[in-house]
Amino acid sequence: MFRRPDFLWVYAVIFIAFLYGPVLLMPIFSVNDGNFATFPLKGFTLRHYSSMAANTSMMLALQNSLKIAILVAVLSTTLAIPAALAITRFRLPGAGPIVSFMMLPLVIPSIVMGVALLVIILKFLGIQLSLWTVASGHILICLPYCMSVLMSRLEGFDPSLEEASRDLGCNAWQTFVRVTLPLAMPGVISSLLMGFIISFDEFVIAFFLTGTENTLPVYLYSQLRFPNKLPGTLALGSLILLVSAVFVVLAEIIRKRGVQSGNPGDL
Amino acid sequence: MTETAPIIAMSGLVKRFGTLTVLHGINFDIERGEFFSLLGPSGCGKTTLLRILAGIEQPSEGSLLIDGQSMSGVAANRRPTNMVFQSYAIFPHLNVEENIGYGLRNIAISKSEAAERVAEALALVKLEGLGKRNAHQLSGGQRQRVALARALVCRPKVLLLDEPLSALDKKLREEMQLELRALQRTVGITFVFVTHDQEEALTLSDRIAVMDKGHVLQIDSPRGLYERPVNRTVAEFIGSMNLFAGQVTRVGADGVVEIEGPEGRFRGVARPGLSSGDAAVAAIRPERIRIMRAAPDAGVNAVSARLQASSYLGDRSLHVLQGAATGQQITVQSGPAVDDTPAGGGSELWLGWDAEAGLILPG
Repeated sequence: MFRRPDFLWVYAVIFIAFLYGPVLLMPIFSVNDGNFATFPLKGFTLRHYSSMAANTSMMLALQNSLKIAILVAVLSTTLAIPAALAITRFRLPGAGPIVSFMMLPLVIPSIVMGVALLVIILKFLGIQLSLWTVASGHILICLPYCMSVLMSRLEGFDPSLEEASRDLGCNAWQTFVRVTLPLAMPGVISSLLMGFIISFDEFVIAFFLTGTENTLPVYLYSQLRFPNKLPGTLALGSLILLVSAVFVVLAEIIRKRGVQSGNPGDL
Repeated sequence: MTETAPIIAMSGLVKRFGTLTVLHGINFDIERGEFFSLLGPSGCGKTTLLRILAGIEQPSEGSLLIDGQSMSGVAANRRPTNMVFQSYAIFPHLNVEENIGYGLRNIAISKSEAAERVAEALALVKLEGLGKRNAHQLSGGQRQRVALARALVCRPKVLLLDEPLSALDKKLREEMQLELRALQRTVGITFVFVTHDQEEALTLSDRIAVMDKGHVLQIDSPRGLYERPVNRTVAEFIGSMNLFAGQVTRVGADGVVEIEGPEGRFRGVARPGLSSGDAAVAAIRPERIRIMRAAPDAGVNAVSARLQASSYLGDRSLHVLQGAATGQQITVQSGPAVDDTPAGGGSELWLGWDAEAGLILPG
């Protein structure tokens, strides 16, 4: 065994500081007793957190974002399940091109998508911009992510499990409920979390497609013009960071557990 | 239906995948209570045929009756068959009991009766006490038993088994062969068993269908297949067989046919259909050949050969010889007695056998 060179430690520390330093400044300034995000720090306070709760327009934007994110997560996962099943379970003619076509939104810049959707919604469909139009735009960009998560899960298990279920007297629907869905559950949960995070985080499409109401990222951007609002947004940002971290850890635990009890159909 | 009618009747079953035809017109019946094997090399269509019986695949042409009922348009979940999959297909999210009881939820029986049947099935496959185990805590042999119990608990009219022993090691496989055979006698259900292992098929089956390239070559009892194979493919697939090429010179009224080839003249039993001048082979099993030091008087079924190697296996000895005329390899098996074991390599010997022990097959 070779001795690990010391400079690698230094490199690793710098690397991690570069990755997480800016993010960690946010919670620090959010408890700083001052109106500007500058050093030196002035003292500990939670007043930004309490003022944040009193900021009704910010709370409203947060609510909007949560509502949209939940709706998007559930709908895009629900839409992706049958599509992923069809692609992994049947020998479809042209399955390859269909999959590439469905994955296309991954590589289309969201600014292009935003403009295109805006034109379609306003000019062709004549629909008023609202949170609903934001949600539908988000579903469009979340679908390929949900699809790929679900497809990799569904491809991972032995098709004879479903055949066995049919053989033991279950029809197609019962087989889906009793075998396919439980085995795909880690994938379904990943897909829900993925949809939620992508939608909650998304700025460009929300900016183009929203009506009078704001989602949180759009609201935060509009507030950056007012320097005295900054600590409040930092406080909210820190909370979001905390919740996201919990989500990611949860998703990882669920995925790991899926892998352990899973390896479905192996010998 | 009368009790003597076949449980499965297949006529003209054809299966195509795209342009590839994997089954060419399968016609045969499987009798009630039989242990029936489909035997053939991989890719011969045996698993596809089993999946058609189960209803997982649909035939492209032909008809299938199970217990007198047409199976056309009847989905897998409505058929009186259950299957043991090659991978066992144990549901990983359910424990042993839940796996075994899976099919019972689809039958109109009470919860207590279902629990009773699961306990019975556990006992039948000797897994008492393991009901609460998780699927991933089971060994290969235990998984196989769970798969068996899960299929049998539904009391199918036919149990379909797709190479269920191929994933087990040799010792466990031999144990399970005996158990499977005993189990089939206990439950009295018709078993249709797919295997590529001829020894396994011979050990287990009442009757065997030998398949090759989507055709059924022969359906017979193990003894029938071994002693009266219909052609070279069957003869070489079941056990080992020495073949000597030649042309038919005489067709006797008693079914005895004589051929002549480079290694000599051979006389043996043949099925009708051969006539003078046809290409044919004389087939003789290694254990039916006698080794002699001098040429036999008759001059028929006598091959001059040179000994290359002998191996002593305790209960028998195996000798590999080279035919003097063609140099082809000949295998001879002799009994444990030492007196017929030829001495030394390279010695010139004569091989002979009785006409009734040899077969003449179409070349």
